[in-house]
Amino acid sequence: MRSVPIALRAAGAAVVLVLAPMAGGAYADGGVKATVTPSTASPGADIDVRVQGCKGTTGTAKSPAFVADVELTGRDGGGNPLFGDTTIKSGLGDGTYKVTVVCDGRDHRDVGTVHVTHRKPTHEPTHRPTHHATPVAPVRAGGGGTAAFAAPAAPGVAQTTTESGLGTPYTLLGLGLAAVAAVAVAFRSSRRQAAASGTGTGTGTGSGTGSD
Amino acid sequence: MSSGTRPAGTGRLVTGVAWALLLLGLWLWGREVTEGPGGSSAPTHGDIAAVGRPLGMALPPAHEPIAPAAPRRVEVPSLGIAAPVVARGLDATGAIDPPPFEQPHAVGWFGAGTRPGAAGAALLVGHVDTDTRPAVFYGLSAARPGAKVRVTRTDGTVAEFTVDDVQVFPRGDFDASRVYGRREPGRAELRLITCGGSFDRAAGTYSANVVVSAYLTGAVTRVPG
Repeated sequence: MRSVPIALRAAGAAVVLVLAPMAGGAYADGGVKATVTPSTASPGADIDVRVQGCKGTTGTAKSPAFVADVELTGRDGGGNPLFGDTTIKSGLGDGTYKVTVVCDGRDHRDVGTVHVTHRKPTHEPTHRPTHHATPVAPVRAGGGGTAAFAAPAAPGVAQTTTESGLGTPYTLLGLGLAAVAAVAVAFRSSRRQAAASGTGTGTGTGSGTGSD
Repeated sequence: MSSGTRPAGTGRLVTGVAWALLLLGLWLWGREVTEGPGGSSAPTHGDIAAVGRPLGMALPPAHEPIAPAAPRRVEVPSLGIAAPVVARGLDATGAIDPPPFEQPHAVGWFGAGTRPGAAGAALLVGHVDTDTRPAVFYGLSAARPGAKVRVTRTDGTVAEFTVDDVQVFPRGDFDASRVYGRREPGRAELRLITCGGSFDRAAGTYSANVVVSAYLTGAVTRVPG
């Protein structure tokens, strides 16, 4: 008779397991949306992708128009929008291309679009500055003249550090002193034990005075 | 009889000295491990500001951006930096070109970019050293949040910025948008950039950039005349 409640529970679990993906799937596809900015771009142009509706904080956006899949990242906490950027493929034909987003462990097909046209949109500047109009690379601002020595007197950063963190001389000095101290303590305690066993009790109590 | 009181007295003395040496050794080692200010090696990566930031220190509120004007002079009193500013452009790699090594005392400003005091990030670059001696931004990595940076502009106004972040960015993994881009919309910001990390003698370059980030907190208009 006990098998009936067990069977009922098992059946209930099976129903939940069957229905859950369907419910989750319907919600997810309806919730995820990808927005491309600018929505109309030229081949070779940079675009930004903003994805809403993913529960996680990472994902990927793909499109035949993109030069590479977009790695999406967002702020902590699920449910916030995810962001990424990439470039439209050069030499791509005009048209509308669909964007697919992979997040929360599944594909969300056709959740956004991007229009590609060879004619520059009117709101873009006609005079396109050189690729390096804003700085993009780290600066070269040092000749290395102070890199040879560590100078604690000057609060400088120009020091060669082959290891991160500990300065070797201080470490060795500190460990050496600690070793000397440990040896001294051990030596003293062995002498104390020798003195204690000399009085015959050998229990190791008291200091080395060995009161009789 | 006991082995005598004299060995016991010296025994305590030796024990005491041994403990003192042990504690001294551990203290010296601990100073190195915690890498506090005054440590003998500088961090090569990460958030320097976290090392010296007092807990719960409040930074002053941001000042509204002021009318743009080109910079003429920059001073960081807490680091002893006071230098003229010259406008610079980009080099072939897309990095701001600092003043030549023959002018190690001058600070470069990316002239095509934001002017100090206007909304956005104004970029100042200076050498940490030449191939023989320290240069204008040698002490930059010692900046800490709360430090003041004063920029005197061509219109006579002195714009005062407060440092809110000091970070080391390695060349190999360089986050240009965080170094050169504004961090909060609508705010007037300032970046002081120099080299740091370890020096690669073969390549002739440092391994990282030290970036001090500050935001506008005051402006004093010089009364003309």
